[in-house]
Amino acid sequence: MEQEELNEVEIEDEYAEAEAGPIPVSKLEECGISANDIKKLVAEGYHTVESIAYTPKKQLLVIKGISEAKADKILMEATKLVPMGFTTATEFHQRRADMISITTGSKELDTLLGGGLETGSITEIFGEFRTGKTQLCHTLAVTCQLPLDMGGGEGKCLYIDTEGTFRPERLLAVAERYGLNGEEVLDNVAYARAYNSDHQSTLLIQASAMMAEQRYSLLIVDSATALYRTDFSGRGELSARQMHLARFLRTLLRLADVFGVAVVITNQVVAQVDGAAMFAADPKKPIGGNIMAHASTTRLYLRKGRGETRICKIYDSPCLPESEAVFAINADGIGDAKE
Amino acid sequence: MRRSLAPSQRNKTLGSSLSKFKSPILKSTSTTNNGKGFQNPLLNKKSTSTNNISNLKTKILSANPTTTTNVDDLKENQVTEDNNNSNNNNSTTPLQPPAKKIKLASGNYKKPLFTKPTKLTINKNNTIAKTADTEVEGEEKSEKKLYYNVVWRKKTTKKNKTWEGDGILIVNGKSLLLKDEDGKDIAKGQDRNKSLEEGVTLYLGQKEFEIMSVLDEKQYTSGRCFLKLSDNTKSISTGMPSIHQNKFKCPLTAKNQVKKKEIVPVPKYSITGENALIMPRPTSEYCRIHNPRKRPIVDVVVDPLLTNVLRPHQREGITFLYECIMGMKNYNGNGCILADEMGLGKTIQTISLIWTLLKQTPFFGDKSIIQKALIICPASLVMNWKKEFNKWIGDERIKVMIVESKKDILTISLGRIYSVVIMGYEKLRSLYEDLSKVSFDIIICDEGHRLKSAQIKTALAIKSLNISKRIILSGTPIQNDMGEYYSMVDFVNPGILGSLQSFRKVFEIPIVESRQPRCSKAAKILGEERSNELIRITGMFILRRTAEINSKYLPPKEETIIFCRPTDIQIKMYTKILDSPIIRKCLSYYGSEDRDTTSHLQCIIALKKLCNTPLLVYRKYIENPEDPFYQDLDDYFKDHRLKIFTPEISGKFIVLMKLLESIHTQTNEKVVLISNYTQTLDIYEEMCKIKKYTFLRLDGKTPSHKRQEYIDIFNNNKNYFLFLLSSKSGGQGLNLVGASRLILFDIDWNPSVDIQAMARIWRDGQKRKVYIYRLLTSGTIEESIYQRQITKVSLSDNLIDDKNSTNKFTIDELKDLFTFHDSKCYTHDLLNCKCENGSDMNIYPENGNNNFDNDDDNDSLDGFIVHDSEEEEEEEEEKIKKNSQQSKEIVHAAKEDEDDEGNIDDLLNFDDNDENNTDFLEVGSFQTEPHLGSSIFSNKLKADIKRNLKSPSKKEILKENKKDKNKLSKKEAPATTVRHQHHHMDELKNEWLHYIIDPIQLKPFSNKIQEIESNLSQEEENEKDFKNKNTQTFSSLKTKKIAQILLQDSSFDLPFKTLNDNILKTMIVEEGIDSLNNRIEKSGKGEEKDMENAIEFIFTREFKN
Repeated sequence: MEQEELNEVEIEDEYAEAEAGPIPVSKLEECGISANDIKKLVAEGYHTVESIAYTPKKQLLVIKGISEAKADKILMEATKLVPMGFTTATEFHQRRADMISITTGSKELDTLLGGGLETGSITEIFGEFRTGKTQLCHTLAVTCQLPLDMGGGEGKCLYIDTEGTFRPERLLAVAERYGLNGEEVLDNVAYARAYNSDHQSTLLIQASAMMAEQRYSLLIVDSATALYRTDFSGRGELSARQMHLARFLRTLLRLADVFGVAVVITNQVVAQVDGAAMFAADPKKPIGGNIMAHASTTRLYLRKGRGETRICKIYDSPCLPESEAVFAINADGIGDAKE
Repeated sequence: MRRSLAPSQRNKTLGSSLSKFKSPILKSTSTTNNGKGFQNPLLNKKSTSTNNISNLKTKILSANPTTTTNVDDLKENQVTEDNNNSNNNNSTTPLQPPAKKIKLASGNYKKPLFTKPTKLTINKNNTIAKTADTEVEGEEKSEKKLYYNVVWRKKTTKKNKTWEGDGILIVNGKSLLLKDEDGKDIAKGQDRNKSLEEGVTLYLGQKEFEIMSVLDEKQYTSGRCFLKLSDNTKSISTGMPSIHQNKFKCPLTAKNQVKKKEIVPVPKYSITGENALIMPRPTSEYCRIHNPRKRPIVDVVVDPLLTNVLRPHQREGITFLYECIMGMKNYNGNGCILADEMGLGKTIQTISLIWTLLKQTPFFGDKSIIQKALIICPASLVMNWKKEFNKWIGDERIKVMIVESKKDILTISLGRIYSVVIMGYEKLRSLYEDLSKVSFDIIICDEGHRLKSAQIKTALAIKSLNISKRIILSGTPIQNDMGEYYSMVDFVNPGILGSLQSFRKVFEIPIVESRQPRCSKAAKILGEERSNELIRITGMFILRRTAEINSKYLPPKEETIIFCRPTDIQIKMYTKILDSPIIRKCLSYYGSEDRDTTSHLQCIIALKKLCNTPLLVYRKYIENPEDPFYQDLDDYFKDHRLKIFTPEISGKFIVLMKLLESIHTQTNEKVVLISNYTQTLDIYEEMCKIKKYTFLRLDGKTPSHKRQEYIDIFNNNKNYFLFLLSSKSGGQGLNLVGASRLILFDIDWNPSVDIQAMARIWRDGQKRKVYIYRLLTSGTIEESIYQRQITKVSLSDNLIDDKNSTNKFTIDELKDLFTFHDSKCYTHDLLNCKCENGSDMNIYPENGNNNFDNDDDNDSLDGFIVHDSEEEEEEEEEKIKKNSQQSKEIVHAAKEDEDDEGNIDDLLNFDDNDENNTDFLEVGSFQTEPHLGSSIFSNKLKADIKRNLKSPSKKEILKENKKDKNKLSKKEAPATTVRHQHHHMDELKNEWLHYIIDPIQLKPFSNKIQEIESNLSQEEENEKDFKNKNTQTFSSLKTKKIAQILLQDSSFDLPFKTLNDNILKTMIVEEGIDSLNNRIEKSGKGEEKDMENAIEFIFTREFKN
């Protein structure tokens, strides 16, 4: 009896989730868009009706084989299905209250972040080497799989690695800390290695296809900017690099909007060698310039503390005040600093 | 980026395809290739050149001179080449010269090719073939048409070009034809040696196009490509290798359970707010069934946004609805009926309930109780509902969709924007199959008395949607009999009263039995028990409050029934019709088998028309002069006054015009004028044009999107004085609180139609005192209809009532209907009211003597009922007894089955068939209770009034009805004494105030009147009346002023002091003065008599507030 009940409950949960997730683009077929057009959209990376509704018309026109008339029609159908109008702030406030936050493993860090990492927006973590960016990413890759009432996101994780620093052994260590089944934890993480900046962007298209099918709660791009540093060089290519980077970040934002996942990107720093920052405490600033700065919703600056402790400071956030928290890198991932 | 890859890819294809691409065989060479696949005939020499393109060039150059190549030869060539190729793949055999006809000539070649064209052609195997030979293709083109999918645009020199649309390119030999998506030709032209390959922009006329892909010929010929049908329903592949994904499995193992966060369930809105309306919590029993996941229970609180405006009875209503819908009550079902009277706020109660259910749930963590709601209502109310949602909740919080077509249903089912869907009944009938794709959680039927017949298509359609939570809203739930009652109850809670047959056996028949005049005691007891049980069951899910509650919040309301005397011509025509052969035939055939069952309906219609105005009859006659019905009326039709609109030929119109004039000049209030017939509305329009009143009209023909617009304009704009309304299409649900006066011009058999119509203005939003006038022509069929209405009104307050099995009028009733009662007010006579106003004098004194004489005796006794002796009284008694017995036998008129609909529709061709509303000829039954002494009337009226004056709660009503019934049934009094009768009458008189305008009454004041007149006439001679030089209206202005002055005078003492309607007062006095003057000045002239026939007799019913 209980088993049946549980099964029923599971089925209901599935049903509820299917209802709550984004609408797959194949539903547009029922609205009168031909299958060929839908294929073209999918090939360009538009796997959900939401993603189509959120793009401007001229981006749709770039797709080969989509004429203006067709783009108009597609957009009209898509906007009919997706709520894109006004709502009251009370409604929105309630929606935000229901939003999931993913725990980082350290309670202090969680408190600093107001409960954990926000889903549905981009969080940028930057700091110089050895500050714990990749370790934080590994911990998050596991905690995002925890059930909701344990502070997790109850979903899979997508890990895009550009520097080749992904270590599944670390994942296993974190999993053991939470008492999770190591194999399943690894199974739930989808890992890809990006080899150049173009490839990095291409991977996102595939990512959106995957997200449309399964429930993902976290997307990590470990060092979003590493490849750009070398692929584009010099002042001459600066505009090309920034454009490319901007487009990449825009796609990330779209993924966050449509699927409601938490997006974490890691950034590198550059030393400021000119006299301007000589008297500043930490003459390092994140790369990427203003494009990066404006694209990420929350920016966290990590620096090394004593021993294994690290200090995290909020650099930019729409709702969190500027303050610091101390955490430690342990054998089993990120944790609270032991005083 | 992917995009940047594409162009380079395209360029690559040209070269790479040559080396690695092995295209399948050409159709012509299918047999010879042995399925090896087409091998490019030009690639036979590896050694000669590494550059394949140049190879091709040479080959083609050599091949070109064959101007007269025919297909066969070329094929041969290819065959030989292929054979060569197949034999020696990598051999270095030199290029065998092609067969005979190809010469190496120098000057004849036509086309210098610079790029290798890759052609796409279709072969039998439906695979894409590439040929290198343009010539070949040219030949093939001549045999077969080719079709391509293209995108096209007008020629532009813009930097950022976009494709305007999709199209189809038809290649027929050398001519090209470009069609757009819909099959229209866009461009034609010749193929100027431009090769058709994928990806290159080509020109045709003023249009540019680019080929996307090849189109199957069948697709084109069958026309499917134009229909935009999705024929390809296979799953869409991304084109990229997809990694195999497993579903997310929570990695949490059983042994290590980290402490879960404690979530404290918090209700959505604060419980402790002032006006917090908290819904009852589910019981543990309920939780066992509905809460399998054992979620914590949280309070469901109605949004304070709404509770701040809700009235106490509405709060109770919402709680009641919530309990019923959730199934928390003790009955088997999730449906309920909200039967509050009009104006009590059914809409806002429903909206609050839907909003609460949409957003909250009693079990914390579950999704909300409902996700999608469906509201069905009459077509004219659809916009009204949307506006109400917008008004109370707001457009940002809740998205409401009105369904107009199938596409809308798609939008609802796929998208998640809309949570509430509104439809009209007719739309539902046509679209219910598509609706079943969407899963609604609750359905609300507004004006649900439309569902009273269980078999109609609408009800069956709704039932097929499989929605368990159902609500019916109706101000007038029970209109006729218990069968309808059963269908409505069965709709909301299927099976709760058993099947129809068992219901009849168990409830209907015993209850009816117990009401028969001569039934056994056992039957009576059984009937009572059964009716108790029925009330108990249905009481759990039916909620009704009366409009009395509203009176606390609204300004007072005054209802006046005005009996108008018919004019000369009306009386004559009326009596003539009654004498006509057709009616005699009706009456005589009644009882025989081959009677014409419909002719009496026709007569009734004609009589009703006549009561409105003879113009209507005349116009009908003009349409159909051969109709035998109107033959006798020829002489009257010659009357010149029928040719143009003159109101003076109809008593009601005289009253109406005076009324409107007074209202228009004395106040700035607006008036709603309601009639059942659109032809009458036409006449109103003519009247308005003459009088220059601004008006708006709403009837069945008004398009639905305009209806709400007119209503809004009328309510908010001061420029419109009149609103002409047809009661069938506008009677229900509309909100016309801009007006404070309502005139109901004619009367319907069904009292609820009139009640609904009259409730248009006395509702929330009304700021002024409301006056309602009902006009009836005295002595005619309208009075009889009114009498029947009175008894039916009390019927709907009782949940159960009688029903006689026969469906037609009896011969006596017909006779009663078809008599002209020559009295000032038939109803008043029936009531046998002892007031000094009653009179049984004829309307027209036969002799020239007037009741009026000039001496100062107390003439007021003239024409009043004087009962000197008991004998006379007993005579009257018996008369009343006879009347009441007659009326006892009155039964239902034609029941509106689906079959009869057609007949009735044909006959009552006044009505536009707006709402398929078939409440035409409904006549209710009198309660067949044995009242031997008092007239049925008085008791009924008394009971009615009693009930109306109290403001009971739902339960009390039920109890009271029961008590009433018991009381009345027990009163098997024998012939009552006169005293008893008087007693009743006195009570009645206290409730009913009535008076008469008789010039006689004004006689004592005639001196005063003359005084004022002389004063006024001096003033007015100085003023000039610019508006109307007509002496009639001039004199009426004068009388108006006199009347106003008189009324303000305290010494002016008339019995209608208590009448609150100043306008009526003025009119009455005016009339009196008018007729006084007329009688003095112009006695004996026939025409002016018509002028006297204005307000003669008025009943008022004043609601005590």
